[in-house]
Amino acid sequence: MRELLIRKLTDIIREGLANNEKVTVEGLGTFSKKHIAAEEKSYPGGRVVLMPPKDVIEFKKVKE
Amino acid sequence: MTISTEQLLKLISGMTDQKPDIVLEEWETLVDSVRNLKPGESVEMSQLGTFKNVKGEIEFNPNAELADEINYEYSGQEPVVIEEGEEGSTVPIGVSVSGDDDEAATAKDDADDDDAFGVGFADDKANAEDSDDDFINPFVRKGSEPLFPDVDEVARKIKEDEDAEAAAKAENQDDIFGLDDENDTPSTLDKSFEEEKTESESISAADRDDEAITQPKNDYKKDDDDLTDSDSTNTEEKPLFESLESPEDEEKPAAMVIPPVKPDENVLKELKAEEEAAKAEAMARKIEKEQGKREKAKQVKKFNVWVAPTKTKSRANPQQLAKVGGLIFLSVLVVGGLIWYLLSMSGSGDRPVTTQQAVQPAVTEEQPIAEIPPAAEEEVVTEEVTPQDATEPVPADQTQEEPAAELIPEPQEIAPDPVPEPEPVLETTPEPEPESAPTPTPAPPVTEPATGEYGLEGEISIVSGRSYGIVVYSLSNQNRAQQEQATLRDLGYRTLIIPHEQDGQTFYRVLVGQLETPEAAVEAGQQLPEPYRNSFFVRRFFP
Repeated sequence: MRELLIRKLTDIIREGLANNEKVTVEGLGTFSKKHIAAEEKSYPGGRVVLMPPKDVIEFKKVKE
Repeated sequence: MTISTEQLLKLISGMTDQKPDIVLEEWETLVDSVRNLKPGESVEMSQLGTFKNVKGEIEFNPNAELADEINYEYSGQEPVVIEEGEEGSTVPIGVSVSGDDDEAATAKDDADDDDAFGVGFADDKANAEDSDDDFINPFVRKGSEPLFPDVDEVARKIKEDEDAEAAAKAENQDDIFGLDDENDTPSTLDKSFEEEKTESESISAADRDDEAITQPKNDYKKDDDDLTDSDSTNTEEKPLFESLESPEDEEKPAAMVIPPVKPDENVLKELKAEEEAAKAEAMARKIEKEQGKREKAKQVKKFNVWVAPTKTKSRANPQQLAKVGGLIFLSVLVVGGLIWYLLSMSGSGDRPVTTQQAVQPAVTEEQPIAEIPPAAEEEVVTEEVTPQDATEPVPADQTQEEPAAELIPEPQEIAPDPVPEPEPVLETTPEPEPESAPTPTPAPPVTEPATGEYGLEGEISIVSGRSYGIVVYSLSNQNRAQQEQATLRDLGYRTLIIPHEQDGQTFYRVLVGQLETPEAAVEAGQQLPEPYRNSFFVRRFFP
């Protein structure tokens, strides 16, 4: 039962985020997609690496 | 989008036989497990991810599969090293954008070298790295000598051949009947032939030198054998270089084969006389041609006012036709001048005045036609010229000058004639400068490809160095990728789609621009309009 609940929840979150929507689950929190642009990272030896951009899932717990 | 507990329960109710109360209870337990997390504690939900309390804040780390799905646009992209640091400074980046640790590790170590062809397959990476080592020069046989001989070697052998031929010719000058031809010609021909043969075989340099010297010798010997059976031993011991250095030795066998037949002296004399006559004739023709050329040069300088404008147009005509035309024109001039000269000499005393007209412009070659001296001066000069005609043996020069002066009124008729057009190409080289000045204007299109090798706009070009593009899309749908590419192309960008396979799925990455270095690509990416500026990434697409 629990697994079914999680699977269904995952489907809902995935679908919403794929459509660039925030998904708020009552009692739990809000899931959203956050874009992180490419950025340069410098390392002590002088090496500079360009990190690729990425989209990540951000979660904010519902306020009680 | 907000989903309430009722909605969730409603969705699930059709999928399970459980009563709604039990489902609700289960759901509340699940939510409480997240909400009631204590610092440092975590709860994992398979398929969804892990919730962790970090310093009172709940963090969510999605399941790798879910993360990839959300990050599908940038899936599989790897960090690019912009600047190499000191050795040993390769701090582990430890960032896997797509969650693919293998790719991240590869990028960490040699992000600049992997995926040389921009395809992104792991196998290709290895192949690309190996390909530098396995580069096969098409002109060099692997593990052996170059397929083509050394240039210096060939030049040396050609020089030897030439020396040998020169020596043989010098010898043949006395050999009017060409008795020694059979000895000379085969030896040099066979030598070069054998050299080619030996060069094509990959032998060592030392061996090749030996063969180059000895091999033709053997052939030479064979030829001798055809001529004579008895004296071949005389030449057997002698290496060819001796015969090359001292041609007399080479001729000896021939002299021995055929007894020196002394031709009749009268015949010799006749032949020599004929030869000298032919030479004299050739010299006469040459002199005649040179005189004609001088004449033409002077004519051209006089007519340059008309000739120059037509010069560039006449470039298109075949030069041979022009030369023939020029010769005909010159011959007409010379003949006409001669006739006129004869007539003037035999006519009244006024004629020499015009004769002087010819002399005067010849002295001031650059003077325009309008500056022909007035008649008063001409009369004075005429007195000086007439004795010259009598004493100096320079009538030929004068006759050359005459037609020039005589034809001065004619250039308007001659100018449109295509015959004199090609001449100024050679003679009036300083003239074309003002005209050739505008010709560089079409040059920019020629240099355009060089400057357009790299850049954001234009077309993707094949370059010798590496190229970096800006990834603005990474799509699993090829059609959509092509649509985006078309849109970008319409905006004037140079674009390229690179397929990238990850976890059995192909992503089509749409790249914009073609930059020489990653830094340049980053700079260019920051100049892109807003939809792309915030989400670009750099990728190498040419090795």
